[in-house]
Amino acid sequence: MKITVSLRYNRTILKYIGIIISFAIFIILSFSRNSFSYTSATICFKCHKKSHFVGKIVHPPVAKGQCIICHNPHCSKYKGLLRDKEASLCYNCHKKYKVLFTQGIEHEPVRKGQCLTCHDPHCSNYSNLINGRLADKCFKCHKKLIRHFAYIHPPFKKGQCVVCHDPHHANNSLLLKRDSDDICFSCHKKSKMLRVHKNFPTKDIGDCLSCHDPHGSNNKYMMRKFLHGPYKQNCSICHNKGKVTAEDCLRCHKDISKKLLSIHNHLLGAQGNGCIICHSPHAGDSKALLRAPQLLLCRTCHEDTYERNQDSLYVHPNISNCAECHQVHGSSRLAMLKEDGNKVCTRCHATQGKFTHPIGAKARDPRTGQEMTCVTCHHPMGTNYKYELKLSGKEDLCIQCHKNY
Amino acid sequence: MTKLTLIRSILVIVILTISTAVSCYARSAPWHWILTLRGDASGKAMDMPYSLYVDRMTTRYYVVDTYNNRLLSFSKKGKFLHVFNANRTLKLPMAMLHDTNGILWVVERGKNVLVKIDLKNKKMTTFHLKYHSLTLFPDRMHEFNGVIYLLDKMTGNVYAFNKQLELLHCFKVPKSSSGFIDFKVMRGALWALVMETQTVYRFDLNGKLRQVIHLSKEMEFPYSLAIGPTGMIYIADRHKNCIFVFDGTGEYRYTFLNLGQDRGKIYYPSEIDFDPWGRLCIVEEGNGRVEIFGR
Repeated sequence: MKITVSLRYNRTILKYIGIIISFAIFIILSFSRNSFSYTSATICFKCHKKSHFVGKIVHPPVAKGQCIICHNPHCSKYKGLLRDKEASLCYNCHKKYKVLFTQGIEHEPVRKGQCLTCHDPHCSNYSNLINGRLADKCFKCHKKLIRHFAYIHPPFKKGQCVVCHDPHHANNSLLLKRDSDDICFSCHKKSKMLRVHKNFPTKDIGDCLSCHDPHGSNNKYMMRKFLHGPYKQNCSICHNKGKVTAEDCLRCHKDISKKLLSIHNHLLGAQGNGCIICHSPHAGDSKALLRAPQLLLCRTCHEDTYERNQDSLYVHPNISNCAECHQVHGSSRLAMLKEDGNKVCTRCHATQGKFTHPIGAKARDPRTGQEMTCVTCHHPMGTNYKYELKLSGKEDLCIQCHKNY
Repeated sequence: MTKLTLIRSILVIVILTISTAVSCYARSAPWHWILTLRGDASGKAMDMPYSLYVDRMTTRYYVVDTYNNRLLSFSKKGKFLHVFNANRTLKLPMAMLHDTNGILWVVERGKNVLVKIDLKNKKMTTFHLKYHSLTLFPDRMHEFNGVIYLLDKMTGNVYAFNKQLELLHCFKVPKSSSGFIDFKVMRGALWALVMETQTVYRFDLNGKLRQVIHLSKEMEFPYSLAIGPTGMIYIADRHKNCIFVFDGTGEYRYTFLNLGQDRGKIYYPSEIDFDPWGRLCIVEEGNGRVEIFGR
């Protein structure tokens, strides 16, 4: 009798436990994204054509019908009913890239979190879910790049930009994957290059980009457009006695020598020749034989300045032309400006030079006793206040000096 | 008896707690402004001052007022004393020192020379410095035990000369393309900063490298270094307008000061150094002054 009762009692308990477990499983399944999204995808595709989400490569969440991983089906403050900012959504799954991409210099769309500039989040016929032919994507932004030459480097011709460049980040402003010579020698065998450069002045061949344009050129062997005078005539003009020093350069470029006698100069304290950090000694795309477009070149060392100002709400126009305001070889003014903080601005802002808050030798900053100049109140590189003011022009800026007001 | 013991114990605990708190505070105490050296008292504000020299013997501060082509002297309390411009012959002075023989040494960027000024005999001698037939671009300069140490802006090396300007030693970054941006001679060693790699190198005074200190915190534009009385490393970030503090191993400790024109703020610092009284002196090119901080 006792045994029958306990058995019945146990069965009842088991029944309840079974019901509870089933209910729990039901609850878990119904609230889990996978099952829910499967239902949602079915619903989504009632309106959104399923054929639009088909390609050689389909983003796994799309393939699994997990639309709501990224989208909110009801409402959102982000375009496309996204649940979050686009990069934040991507990094939810692609976690390791969130940290990795911040190392070194980021490609502009990566820095701005605009993954969809290059990638399609649903499907694509191109690898890595690129939303079109890779080169077309690159040239869409890099419009100034010359594309047609008499002699074109095959990877450039084929649109294989990523053979040399990293589209996300790199440790250099040109976003080269590795040291430029390493990239060149990965295809062009060094032994062969040594054979074809018979009179190369040093034993170890290198610095290929100081003569060759890696994209293409109208000159044979993809030589760059502008050649350094001595290079055009005879290598031995410079390479006649071991290493070429900055002093050797300055022997001809006497005008630059004078500029170096300024409080700040770009001698750079380099163990080798400081001049060739910015200039190619052989050939270049501009008369100054710069190794890269100016902004990219300056960013090589002054990335902090670029990063600090690039996201400001108000930025001075033509900011990429550093040499417009800065004396790049040497200057005795603050921040290596071409002239003092008034003259450098009034070259363009002539009206403000005549009619403005008192500036010049007679108007002194009460805080420091320094001459009032345009840059006392403005920071032309970029600020979050109108007219690139350092603080709000409504009050905050003025009361720095006019304390009794 | 028991009560007395208890009171004694409580007192000891309280005293220990207070002393620990005080010593901790002293170690991490915020720096406070003590005084400012300004050029106004000379009738002209400083313009782009680049460096500072403190004369232990006379307890005077000398500010190199570079753009105004002059040297200004101040008392320990910050009172303006004199202007010196070598009869208006100085052209962009960058650094100076006053040796024990009463000789004034000045680095002039405008002529790229080192000038020896015998104040007693009113005699000036200029030297165009060379190393292995290469012209040097002297920048910063310090003296220790009769040896003049000069930073060459061209190579980023530090050269040690005797008073006859014979080369004694060369201090350079081993196996690197970058040179030094600043150096100090302190605690029997030469400490030099490399901006690109954010590294401090410690040499003995014979030019032998003794320690490489990688600074653990990323800075924007480390421009000048100072070694504190307790061996802490102070770095002035010229673009971030603040001072980073690291311990002797390069471990980051704290940051202080920020951008501004008001007292206690800094703008484009060009040099930092400790005076003989343990106060931190900051030469500000942007604000045309030297601010002195203590704790």
